Amino acid sequence: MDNNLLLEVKNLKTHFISDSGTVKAVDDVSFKISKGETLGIVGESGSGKSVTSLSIMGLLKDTPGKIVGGEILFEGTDLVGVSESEMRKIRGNDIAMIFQEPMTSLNPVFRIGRQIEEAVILHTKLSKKHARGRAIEILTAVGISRPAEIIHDYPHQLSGGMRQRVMIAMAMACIPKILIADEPTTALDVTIQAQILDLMRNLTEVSETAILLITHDLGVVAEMCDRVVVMYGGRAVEESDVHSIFSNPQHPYTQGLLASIPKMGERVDRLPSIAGNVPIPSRMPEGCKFAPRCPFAMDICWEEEPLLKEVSPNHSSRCWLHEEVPENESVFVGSPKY
Amino acid sequence: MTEVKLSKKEQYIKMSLENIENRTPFSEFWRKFKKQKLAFISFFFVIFLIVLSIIGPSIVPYDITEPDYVNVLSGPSAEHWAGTDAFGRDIFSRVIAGTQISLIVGLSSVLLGAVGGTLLGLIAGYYGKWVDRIIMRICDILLAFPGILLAIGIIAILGPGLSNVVIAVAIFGVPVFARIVRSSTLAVKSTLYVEATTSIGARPLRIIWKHIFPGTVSSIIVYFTMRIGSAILTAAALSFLGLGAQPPTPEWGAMLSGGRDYLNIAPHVTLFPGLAIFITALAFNLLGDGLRDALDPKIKE
Amino acid sequence: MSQYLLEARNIKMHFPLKKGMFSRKENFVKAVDGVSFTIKPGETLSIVGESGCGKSTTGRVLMKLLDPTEGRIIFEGEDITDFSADKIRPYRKEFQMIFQDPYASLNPRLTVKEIIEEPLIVHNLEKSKRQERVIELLEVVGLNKYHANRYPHEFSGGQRQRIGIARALAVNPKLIIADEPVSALDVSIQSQILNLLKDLQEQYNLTYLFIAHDLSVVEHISDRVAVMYLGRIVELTDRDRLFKNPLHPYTKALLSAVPIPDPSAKKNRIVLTGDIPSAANPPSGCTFHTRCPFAKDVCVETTPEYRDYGDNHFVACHFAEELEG
Repeated sequence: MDNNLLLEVKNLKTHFISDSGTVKAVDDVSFKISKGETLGIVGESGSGKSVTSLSIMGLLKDTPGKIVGGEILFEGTDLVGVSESEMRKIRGNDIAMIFQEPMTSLNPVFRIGRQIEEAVILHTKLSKKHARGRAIEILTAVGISRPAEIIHDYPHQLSGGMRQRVMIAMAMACIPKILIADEPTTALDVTIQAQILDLMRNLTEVSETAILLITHDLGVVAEMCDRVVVMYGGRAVEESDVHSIFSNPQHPYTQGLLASIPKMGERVDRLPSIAGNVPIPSRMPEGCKFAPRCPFAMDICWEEEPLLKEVSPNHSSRCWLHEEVPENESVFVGSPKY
Repeated sequence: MTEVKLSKKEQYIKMSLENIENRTPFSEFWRKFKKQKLAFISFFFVIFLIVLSIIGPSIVPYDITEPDYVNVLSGPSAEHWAGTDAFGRDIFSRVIAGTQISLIVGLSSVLLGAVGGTLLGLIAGYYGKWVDRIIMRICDILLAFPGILLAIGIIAILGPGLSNVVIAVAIFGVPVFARIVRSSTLAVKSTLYVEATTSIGARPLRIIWKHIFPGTVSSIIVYFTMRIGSAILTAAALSFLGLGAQPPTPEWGAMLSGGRDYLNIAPHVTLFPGLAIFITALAFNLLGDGLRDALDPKIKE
Repeated sequence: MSQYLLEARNIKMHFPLKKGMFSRKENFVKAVDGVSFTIKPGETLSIVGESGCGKSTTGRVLMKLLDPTEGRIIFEGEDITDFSADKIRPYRKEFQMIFQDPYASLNPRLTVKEIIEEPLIVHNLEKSKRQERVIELLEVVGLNKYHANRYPHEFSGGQRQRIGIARALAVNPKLIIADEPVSALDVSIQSQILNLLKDLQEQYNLTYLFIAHDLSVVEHISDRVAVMYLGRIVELTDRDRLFKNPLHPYTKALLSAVPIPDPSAKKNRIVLTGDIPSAANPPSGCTFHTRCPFAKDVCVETTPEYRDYGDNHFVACHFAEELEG
């Protein structure tokens, strides 16, 4: 088991420091990814899910964000504090990333072919001549039907789905050990999303690449992931394998979220919903970050933040409901259902 | 114990009910503007100039038109800080008194140009089609003339004099404002909130006045400020050429012109009005730059 | 008086494509190419489709924000297609719009009060009653009077969408065209807004034209659903029939492509190949034939007829009957 462990994030803390104060974008997030595994990070805007991925990739340089604590162990080495040149070697070779909007990561003034070739040459030391052939191979592998023509196109000439394929092609060119995908299909239509998800699954199966999938879409999570981390307000509030998350959610936020999405084939008049608004990162409550919206919030929830605790094997949740509470508090026994 | 506990919850609820940032668009602007050091200094300098232009003529130590043939072309001294000109008039007093003229000419010509240009720009941008084409072609023609040449041409028709300088400078400001306002009108017109207002059933006049015009104000203010500098320069140039203010009016450009013949023997006659023009134009330009940085939502700290 | 609140008859919206200076042939983007449907008072009709299918353009044509190239818009039995901007103004009270982007659809320079008040001013409500109405509206959409003097940027996405809804409700419209009203919102906020829309519908007997791409949201909120592909409706029927027994191959593929939030669910996915063709140069015959797994020669050659396959189940497919079941 441990031989397969690729990435371990331990108590990661990434804070954004500005004149108006410190925003704890990510505060105490831990998870592990093994070879070939797909881990999903689910959360809403401001939950810290994207900052987590940027922290792993060492891409916080241009932001006011700073890793202030924790470790990011990639095959045993801590990526926190690694030099920029070392990090560059790891990015692309071992860890690759794709983004929601592929247009921002493709250079608009170069042809597709040239951009892929550059990535290939950088990571494989192939000659320029061979790189072209490899580029066409890669594009074929991601299901692009006329690769010999596509390489002469500029990014804006391709559709969103095609661009995302090209991004995946570039990311997978050097067979990374981990592919970090930040909302890879959010900008795409459902029928195209289905294509891209299939593609990601097939490609990574062959190469045993692990995927860190960051998304807000629980449907995508259910379809793609083996394990899931649910994030809220910069904290990991629940972590488990994908089946238990959906069949037996423990944290009130996860429960509320699952209950609130309309499900196909299910007819209800009103959807159960989580009250309140998505919290603003600069104005978090002191205790449990979910307390203001939680239907089960007790006094202690406002006072003190609960710890992420294992509630059953391989299933942890960050909630006071799982603790022994003083007898004068109102307690929900078992898992409260919406 | 319970009291303390509840207070944390209450604190949070109170915090969420309060205005999150309590920032009106103006306070947001002011906060950004204060960070622009040079512009902030220029802002106070401009205020100082305005005050000076109001009270200046009544506080000057010497009469600004009465010749004093005893002190002709004397250099800067304790009595005459900036020396005297060919008629023995105190240059310091004349420069201060000239502030009013320069500011009035600068402000009023740009204001006229801005009002005209804004109206045309709003109409061209909002209605588009042939209205837009006609207005913008006329602007293109006006812009094809070198500014000063156009002004000289206009004055040739209207005759020399300060009020005609104002009109001339205003006219060549019109196409510049029209262009700027038109482009921001087009940008605001395509926003979703303008579409939403249209769908409500609001009349074009309301849409233009309540939604589009406020959206163009920031670029108008920026450009307005920057144009004042160049309007003062143009007005001075026209007066220098003898087309604007006539002697003995203490207009800075006219003063330069009057000192031209004594450049070798008495450079101070041209130096001080020249400095006044330079500093004033610079202050308005710096202020304009700062305003742009503070008003442009695309520029983030 | 017509039994329908709104009738769209063969709406076409073609946008001219500007070509080079010397090209004589003008090309068109056929954003909407012959769309017909009816909406009864009190019902919710949804239009679903992927980006570029023309669903939003259809909404804007019906709002009279765009003048259709062809077709008629009949509102309460009256043909309003050719009404001038002045003539349509009083009618605008009857149909209002909610926009997808709650950030861009509110003027950042106005306070919430000014935003909600605007339709009241436009439709001449007395000044003394406006203040009261604004507060009433804020409460109806789940905000309160303390929010009235704040600016939109101080609100979260969900709250802004509530402000947009309050503005749409201000003049008591009969029809609300909601263009992707929840797709820009966080998951936990979407259900709040969907519930609010449902409550308001009951309370004020509203009729909705709901434009969306998210099929699970559409299934939840609609009475009837129209599926659009490349400017045309390919299938239109009751919600239950559409989701249980879709006839058009595109609808089938679309339904099967939706990721189900249940890891143990069995998936029989029809993965469509290729991209959505451009509306500037749509395929011949049935526009779906380039991606359709069942396409035959006839699909390339002739445009299928859009017809009723029984019980108001309209489909445009040559093989709708064969593919059933």
